[in-house]
Amino acid sequence: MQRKWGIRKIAEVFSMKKKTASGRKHDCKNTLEKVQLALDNELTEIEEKQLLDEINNCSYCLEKYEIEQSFKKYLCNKVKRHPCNPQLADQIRNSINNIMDR
Amino acid sequence: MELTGTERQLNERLFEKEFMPHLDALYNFAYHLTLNEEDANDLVQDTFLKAFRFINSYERGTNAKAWLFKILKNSFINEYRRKTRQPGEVDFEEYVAFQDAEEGTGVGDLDMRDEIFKGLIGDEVTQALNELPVDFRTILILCDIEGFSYEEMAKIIDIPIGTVRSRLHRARNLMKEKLRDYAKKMGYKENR
Repeated sequence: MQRKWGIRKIAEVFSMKKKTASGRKHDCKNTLEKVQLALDNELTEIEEKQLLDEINNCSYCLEKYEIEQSFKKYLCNKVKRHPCNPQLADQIRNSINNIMDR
Repeated sequence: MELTGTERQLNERLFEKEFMPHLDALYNFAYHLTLNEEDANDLVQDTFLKAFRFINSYERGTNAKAWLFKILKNSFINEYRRKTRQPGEVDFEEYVAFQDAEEGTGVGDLDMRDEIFKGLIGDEVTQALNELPVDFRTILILCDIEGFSYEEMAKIIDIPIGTVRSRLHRARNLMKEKLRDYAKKMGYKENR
């Protein structure tokens, strides 16, 4: 899908900096470095909230976040799980009994 | 193994309660590592036998899943990797240099919500994953399929957390490249 690039977005991408609601400077590069951590559940609750606040105020970061999120979900949903042979559990139990009976 | 009747019962109970519930996840991991059923079966059996042998070094109630995955990963490296290594497969370290040179390919923007990616079936996505070098395959399965934390993965694979992060990043980019190639075969055109 081709998206229209408004003046605001172009300014965001080129300057990569703007003020957040809390008054701190927003830096797309810094923000995006944390996206993988957030999606992998590696941020604390406070860090995650801060990041989401920043992302929600920057359409460029929001789009990148959604793209990464869709990739993670995609892998989880599409990669086939190989079910194990139903006899394997009993084979394992038998081998263990054999060791113990030796 | 000489155990009293009670010890034996306790160990068996622990084994059933804390180890056996992870059988399916371990088999799935083993299959993605060895890429064939017979070796996956052997590898999982081996893992459970080792787990049983070292059951006294396992602390009851701690992270059994991560402990078992670590045993499986080590068994694979020590006994199976050479055997199952495919012709032409390159080592992770060799691969990094190549990957670093390729980092600017823009795959980061690949959007899986695109219809063409939705159209790829599970078999194709699984195939793309299985074509990745084993270290990248491993980290994607541990993180995105099994949901392990960075700390757990660092312990399972025996690498620093920083390496977990960078390897994951590279694995994802590489996986995106593979998916993009599959989608291109189906007529996907990039908007750049």
